Amino acid sequence: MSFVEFNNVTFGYKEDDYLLLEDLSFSAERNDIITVIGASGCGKSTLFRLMTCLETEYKGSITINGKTPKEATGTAAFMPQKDLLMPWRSILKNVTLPLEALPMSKSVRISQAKEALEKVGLSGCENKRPSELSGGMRQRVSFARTLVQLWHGRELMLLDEPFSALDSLTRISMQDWLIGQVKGLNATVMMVTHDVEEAMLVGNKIFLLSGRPVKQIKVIDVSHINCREDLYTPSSVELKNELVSAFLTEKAEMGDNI
Amino acid sequence: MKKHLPAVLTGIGLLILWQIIAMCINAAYILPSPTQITVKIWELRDPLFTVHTPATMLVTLIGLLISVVLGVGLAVVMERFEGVERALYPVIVTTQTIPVTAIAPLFVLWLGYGIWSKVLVAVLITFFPITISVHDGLKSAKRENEELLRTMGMSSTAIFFKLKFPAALPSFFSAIKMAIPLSILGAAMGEWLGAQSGLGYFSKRMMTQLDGAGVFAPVVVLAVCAMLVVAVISAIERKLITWRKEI
Ligand SMILES: Nc1ncnc2c1ncn2[C@@H]1O[C@H](COP(=O)(O)OP(=O)(O)OP(=O)(O)O)[C@@H](O)[C@H]1O
Ligand SMILES: [Mg+2]
Repeated sequence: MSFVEFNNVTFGYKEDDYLLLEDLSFSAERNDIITVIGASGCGKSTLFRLMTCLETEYKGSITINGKTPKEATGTAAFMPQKDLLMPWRSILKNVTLPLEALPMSKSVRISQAKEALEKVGLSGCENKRPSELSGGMRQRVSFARTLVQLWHGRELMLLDEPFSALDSLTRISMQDWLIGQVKGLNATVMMVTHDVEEAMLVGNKIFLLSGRPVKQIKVIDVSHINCREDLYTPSSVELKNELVSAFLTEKAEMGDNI
Repeated sequence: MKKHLPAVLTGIGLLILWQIIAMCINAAYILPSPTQITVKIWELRDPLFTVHTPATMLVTLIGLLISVVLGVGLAVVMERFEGVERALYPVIVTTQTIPVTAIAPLFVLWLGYGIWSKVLVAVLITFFPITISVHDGLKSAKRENEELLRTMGMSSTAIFFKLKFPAALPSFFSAIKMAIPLSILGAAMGEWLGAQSGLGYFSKRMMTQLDGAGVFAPVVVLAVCAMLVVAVISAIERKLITWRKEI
């Protein structure tokens, strides 16, 4: 059995009168690093909302490590698109936040948060406030806050467009940084992105969502692309062009209303 | 201090202008000058500061305390239970249009000339703005923040204390600062309608004697009291809220 399995899942928001996912099946293996791409509004974030049990009214079956999302609460560590740091908490306290839901002593929480901050290269910022940090640094704090959850039995990391709010130069350095981080995690990672190069670079597999509603996911193996240079080989350039044109065709089919 | 200088200068300028106009009119029972009022406060210092100011401030603070407890409590309940919110919020907003001033005499009828009729006026004036601000403050915590905490496995109670409560603190303090002068106003108004002590009662008595400066003296004392209490609350606020308002 795969680590994450969607079997014939159909879902649409109650507020909307259309379906987002229809009879969708896919699976992700343990320790896969998957990047998810697809047109804006096609339901990428919704996949994460289903896995983290924020949406429960779906048809079909979803399992994470053999459990339903509800039973699996505490399996996925979620990093949202915006950093959502709490301005009234210090950087350190923002990272200890998820640990406060777990039974452990304050000193352990603090030492683990410090360790996570060190991992993301922010030791020394513990007592600063989020407002004193740059966008890239805040995103790293947010990553650290997600990271500490993996040390407590969480085996699935869900990253929703973690860098989309950053300027392109910061983003490039964060991508390279993330590749290093993600490789040694020993966790299954799914990351939504709207940047095709980022998808090829960070992931081992790309999930391409298309159609409306999404009925199937196209899986593209990109495990051979590991560093920025690999993006410029002829086969990579060709893949990139393919993905981009897939986007454009879809957009044209949608009548440009996205 | 430097940034307050223009305001201080304006204040002094207005006082001088007042002094000049009052000296021109030269009828203390219509417009007493600031110096006459100051002299009056000094002359009346004994009854003003030992009897009437404590009486009014007691009513103000009891009223404020009741309003804060009820207002914050109701705001929390409304935030927690959507049904209660839908049943009460529109009603609360509507009742704000009722002029408490106009129905205040009723409270004297019901509760007599003692302290509680005044407290009730103060509570009615301050309760609603406190409830609404605190409720809006609690609501200002964004849903995405709440959902993130939910994915961390936090309970609703934990989400309240870790997210909503701190998010509402700035609104709570602005509500209190707004409610202090209102509460004093409510207390004084209650005293106006009938009382044996208090600054409102005192200024009414002075009016029957056509003592202009005597009417103004308690008003000045009220204003100074309000400013002092607001200053204390602001100091506490600055100690507690060290983050920029951004959530
Ligand atoms: N919490 C929600 N409640 C109701 N409708 C929602 C909610 N979240 C998203 N939607 C709707 O569902 C559709 C898909 O949203 P979703 O966020 O999953 O798309 P996405 O692929 O992540 O898009 P983007 O690339 O813009 O982030 C959108 O049309 C959106 O309006
Ligand atoms: Mg999204």
